[in-house]
Amino acid sequence: MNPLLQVVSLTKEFGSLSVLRGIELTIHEQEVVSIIGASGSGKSTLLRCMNLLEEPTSGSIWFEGVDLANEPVDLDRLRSKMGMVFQSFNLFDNLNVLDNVTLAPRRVLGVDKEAAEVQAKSLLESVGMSDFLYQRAKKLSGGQKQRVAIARALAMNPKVLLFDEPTSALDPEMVGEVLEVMRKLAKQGMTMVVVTHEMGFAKEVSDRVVFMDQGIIVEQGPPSKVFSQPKEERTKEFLKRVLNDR
Amino acid sequence: MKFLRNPFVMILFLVIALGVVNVISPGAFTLFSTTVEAEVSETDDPELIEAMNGLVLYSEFNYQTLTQAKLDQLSYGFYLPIQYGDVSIAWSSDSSRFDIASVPETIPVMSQTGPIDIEVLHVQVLSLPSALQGNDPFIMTATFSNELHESQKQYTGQLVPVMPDDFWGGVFFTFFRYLSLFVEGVLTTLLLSLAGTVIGFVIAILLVLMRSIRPARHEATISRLLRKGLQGFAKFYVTIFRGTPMIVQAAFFWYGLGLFGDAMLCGLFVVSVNTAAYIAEILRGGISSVDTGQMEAARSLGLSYVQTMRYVILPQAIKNAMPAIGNEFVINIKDTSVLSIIGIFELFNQTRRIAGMHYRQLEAYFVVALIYLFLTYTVTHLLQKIEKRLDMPVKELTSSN
Ligand SMILES: Nc1ncnc2c1ncn2[C@@H]1O[C@H](COP(=O)(O)OP(=O)(O)OP(=O)(O)O)[C@@H](O)[C@H]1O
Ligand SMILES: [Mg+2]
Repeated sequence: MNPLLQVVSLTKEFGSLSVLRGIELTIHEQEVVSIIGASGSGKSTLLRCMNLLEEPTSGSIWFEGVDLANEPVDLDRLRSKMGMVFQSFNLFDNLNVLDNVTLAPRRVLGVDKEAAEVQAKSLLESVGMSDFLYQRAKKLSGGQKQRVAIARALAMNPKVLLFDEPTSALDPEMVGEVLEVMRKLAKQGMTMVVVTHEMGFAKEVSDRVVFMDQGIIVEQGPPSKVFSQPKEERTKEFLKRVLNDR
Repeated sequence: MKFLRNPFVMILFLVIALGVVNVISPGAFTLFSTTVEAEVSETDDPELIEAMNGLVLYSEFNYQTLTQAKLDQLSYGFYLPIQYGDVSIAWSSDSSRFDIASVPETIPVMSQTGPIDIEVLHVQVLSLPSALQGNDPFIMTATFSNELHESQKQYTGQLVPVMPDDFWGGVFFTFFRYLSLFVEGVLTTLLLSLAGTVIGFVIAILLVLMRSIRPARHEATISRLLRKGLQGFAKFYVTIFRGTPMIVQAAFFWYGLGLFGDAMLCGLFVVSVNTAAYIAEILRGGISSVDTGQMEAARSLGLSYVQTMRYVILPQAIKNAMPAIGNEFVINIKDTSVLSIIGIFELFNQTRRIAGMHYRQLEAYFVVALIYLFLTYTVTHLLQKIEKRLDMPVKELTSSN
């Protein structure tokens, strides 16, 4: 498996607050990596540094043979190859479902309207949203919004999808439908980095689990290892806490 | 177009339509103006010619000379001389509103050689037209004759309504008598405030974009200076135009700089740049009301900052700001009155003109207050209806490709 995205010696500070303190992480093609950890441990910040929504303080992000963090690159072009799915969906409220999905292909890739709509319709079908093409994004339920958001990210044919707690803002009965879509994507070989609190999903779907605490990666490995035989004390504590919570 | 059924809205559109027609073809409404042609028959007799040219009519007021201007604004009686040297003059008229006496009387008038008594026929005004009827034109025919010849000359004039002394009568009179002037004023006011708001809105978008440019990641010194310059300019602009009264801006650009050489254009410029400053602030608020998540989502898809603004943020910001922008239009309807100081005859200035004609300020300003109230109320109502329509779900994205 080839490395697709490489995070090297990454640090991030917000003023005097040191949020990431030397992160080394390699994502391989077709790999599904789950990032778990306590609130405030820097998971979101790490994910947002990967597509430079946050500017790293130091370190490198290697993607497509360039160092995004340090080289003067065409960020918009590279970002278009990394899809991102947010906890709060962030659909475009002024557009309907179909236009949410076609906007970026049309404006960034220059795909013509008809072609973009054909592709969007098939993507929306695959996430089970074909009945809502002309609905205003605002009027959808959380689970529906998130599935549209996934279709929107997929419409750019990204090399990797970054998920930041995609189910945390959902009502419990809607979590399943979104996880189902993500499972399907994983099966199809999509490279995914998923920040999640869904331990079940992490265990079942991911190839690798990364546990973060206080801005560093404490432990990583296949889910069977990390969940059943964690090496680090902090990992054990965290798992005990979250698994007992349910 | 259900909202057209509202009576206020119907009246507004009717007034606009009337006004536009009146601008395109002046005098289209007899209510507003009438003219009659006077005829003079040809004669070679020098004595008659001299009499016809030299004859003077006299007003009831202190026997003052009745000029053509006064004849056209007549609301009182007058005297018609029946003799000019050896020429005698006979009078007739088509008007039923006055009565030419059959028995002459003598009045003292001033001549070049001093006061003299002349023989005249007293014309008594029996009735004046009402404000609704408007000016009533008349023709009087004078037949000049000496022993040898006879010739005719016509005099034209208008009987005009007079303002009743009581308040409500005065209000009624002012409104109907000067309806065309009010309509002209309304039209100018609406044009200035609507065009000013629309142009101001376009300028405001530019200002907001200038102000919200984000630095590129590896910014060159030149683009940094440019960005700071534009941001500074936009801030400066808003501070200046919001911080000074529009009346001062108008005087500055018109009397100070003589901008455009045309008061109306200069006025439109002033309203536009002034409104732009306010709308820019409104839009800035509108932009910050769109949550940053959508900006991040768009950027994560590879849309540039400008594309994100154009396709995602601004459409929402503008929609959120629509009520406030509509409000700016309503404010402009009132505030364009200050443009009277640069000589634009919008509604307020038009009213000043009307008030000056009769020295009856109270009635004129009462009427104009009602007209302003009608305008702001109706426009506010219209805007609310339009907003409701805009809020309906869109079926498809209507954007240029
Ligand atoms: N823009 C910011 N400015 C200042 N501090 C920030 C900013 N973003 C995040 N932080 C801080 O950085 C730390 C890590 O935040 P981050 O969102 O990465 O945590 P997280 O692991 O995703 O937590 P959660 O599970 O609650 O989402 C927190 O203390 C947070 O307050
Ligand atoms: Mg987070």
